[in-house]
Amino acid sequence: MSRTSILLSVVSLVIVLTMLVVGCGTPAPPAPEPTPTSPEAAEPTAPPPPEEAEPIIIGGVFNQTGWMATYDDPPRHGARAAVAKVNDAGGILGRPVELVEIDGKTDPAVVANAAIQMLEQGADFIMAPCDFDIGAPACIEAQKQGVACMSTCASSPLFNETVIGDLAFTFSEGSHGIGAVTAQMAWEFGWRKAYVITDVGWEYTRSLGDGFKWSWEKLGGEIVGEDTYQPGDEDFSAQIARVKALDEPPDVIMDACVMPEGPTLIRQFRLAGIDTPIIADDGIDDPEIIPAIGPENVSNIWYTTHAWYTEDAGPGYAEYIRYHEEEWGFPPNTGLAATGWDVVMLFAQAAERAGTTEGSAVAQEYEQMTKEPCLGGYVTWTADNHVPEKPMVAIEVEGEEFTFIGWIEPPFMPPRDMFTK
Amino acid sequence: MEWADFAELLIAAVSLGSIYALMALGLVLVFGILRLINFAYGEFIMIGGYAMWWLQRLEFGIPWGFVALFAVVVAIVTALALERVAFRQVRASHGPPINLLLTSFACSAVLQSLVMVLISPRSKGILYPPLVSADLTLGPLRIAAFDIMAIIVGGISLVGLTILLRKTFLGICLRAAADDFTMTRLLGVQADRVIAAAFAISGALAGISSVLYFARIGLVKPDIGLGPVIIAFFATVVGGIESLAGAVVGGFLLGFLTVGLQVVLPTSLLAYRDAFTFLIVIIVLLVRPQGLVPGRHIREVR
Repeated sequence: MSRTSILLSVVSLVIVLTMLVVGCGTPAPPAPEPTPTSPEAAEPTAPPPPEEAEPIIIGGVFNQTGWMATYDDPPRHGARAAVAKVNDAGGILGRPVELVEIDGKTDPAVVANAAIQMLEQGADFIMAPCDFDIGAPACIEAQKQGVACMSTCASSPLFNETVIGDLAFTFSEGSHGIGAVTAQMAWEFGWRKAYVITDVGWEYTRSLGDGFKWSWEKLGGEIVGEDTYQPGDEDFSAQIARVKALDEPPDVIMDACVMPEGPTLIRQFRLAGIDTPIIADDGIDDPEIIPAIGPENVSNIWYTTHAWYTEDAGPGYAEYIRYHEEEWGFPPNTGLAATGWDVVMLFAQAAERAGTTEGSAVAQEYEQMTKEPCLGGYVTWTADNHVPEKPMVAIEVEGEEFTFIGWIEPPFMPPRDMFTK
Repeated sequence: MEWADFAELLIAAVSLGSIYALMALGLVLVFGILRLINFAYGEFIMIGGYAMWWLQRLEFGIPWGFVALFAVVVAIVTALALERVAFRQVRASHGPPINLLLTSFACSAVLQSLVMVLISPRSKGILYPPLVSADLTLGPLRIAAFDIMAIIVGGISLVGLTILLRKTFLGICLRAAADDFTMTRLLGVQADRVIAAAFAISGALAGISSVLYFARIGLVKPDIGLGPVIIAFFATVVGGIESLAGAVVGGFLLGFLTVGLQVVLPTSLLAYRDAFTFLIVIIVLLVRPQGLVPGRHIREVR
């Protein structure tokens, strides 16, 4: 064996090992501020906020790699657009706002380290990832330092004042509440007999399915059957056979799901000739579901999600879409992006009202917010519920079109305690 | 259960089994020669999916047959590239065989990270033509077209591979190398070429199975290869890791178990389906430690 080939193999081994080690959760260095993709974004049109004031730092822990990136990247886009908007309007408390971003790499340890690093840099507010298991560590660190923290779309009922602390909030309806909203949507469409299929591999989908069933029966609906599947399942023929074996078809099939199994299930149901209406949660809030299901099979599908991205969804949307385009060069294409925008805007409001960015003062302002208008409809937090009650949007998917149907808010919510045990 | 329901489930099981069998064959071909369980194999399937997605996004209206062919070619190129850049170097260092296994994990991580950074960590939908994304009605039967495609393409691929291995010079070299690599080399067969050929065929099988696999699930994401590589690994072990026929038998067994258990188990036990699958696999291995179809190598040693 020649010396060069030994050298070559040593070098390649070192490279792959380094890549492996780097991928395994060493504290991340601060990510460099990515440059805006659109040329317009490089030249701000509005006057910059006062330069002499010390900037207010928002520490954004967003997972840009790993499975969480699906749910964290759109809010990151929305947050950056919101910071541009806030600065154009003169900043917060007369100070410019700076968004510092670190990739949490879908790893709770990296997320915690990222938050620590940002707090050491003087972060006044922490934005946490869109999940309890991955996102809570960021808020736990913020709580220790007396800094307010909000997750963009973590929907676990555990993301609350007693489990994490009085400075931790989430912007998402709890997963049990998402189930209730989805049930309300189906009820308003006039369906009465529901068949519920749950992905049992996630706490999210399980409590979502349970929340749906609780609300459905309270509304007076009938559950005509239930089924389950698991993450990674690629064959739904057994579930299909059980639906076909029903004496009469249900009015609606509820798919409590995440990507990619959610659209996979719908694809296989449609290809097996089941044309029953299918409803789902924000797990399928992604334009990629159209090719995944196959455009010719996309029919009779509805889902609920946190917010939307077209101008008809509400008064603030035109401005939001414009800022998103200026910042990124493309408009938002999922409802999740608006959650990042809302979290930044609501922090700005809370800090202005409190007259400070000090954690407990900001938290108290959040707790005072009742039906506070935002892109996600409106939001209400109370001192004993940091998992908000808010309406969600109903979306219809037909052919290649996503259509905003309206805002849905159920008259009653399943009690949070049922899902925090 | 109506006979039509049963027939539909049977077709689903055969279709799933065909895909699993192809996946397992691709894994066992390389194992036979290198004694390497190539855990980067799932990434060949993932890359095939991204190849289809990428070509469709170009919007030139490329005929779908070409898109599918492109997936297979990209999977082959990826397999050959990994062999040349990583496995050949590690093999040439004459370290213990475990080094190759480690290399395969590294390759898997590198490929996943690459698509995550270069494309997106989010799922991407793959478009199939209406002919594939349709449901067929045969009397009382409603069958997904992709099931029929999987059975036909899977069958053709199995026959093609058998002919390649039995009737061609390359096939004879591959089988000889799997039987006794040292002896084959002494007879003048170039080791690098045989190994590269094994990787190329492995890549081709991964590419074909990716076309069939994504017709079922519709979406590709960076870590999508994990499921297939684990299934292929179990199929080869339960079928008999020394034999190609064993990989096919193991693949079909897992296909039938996946669909069958989902039907047979009561709802309260469905969450434990995978535990039952692997329990059955372990029972099979206790009764037949060499797998369902023991290879020639094992029998000679005995």
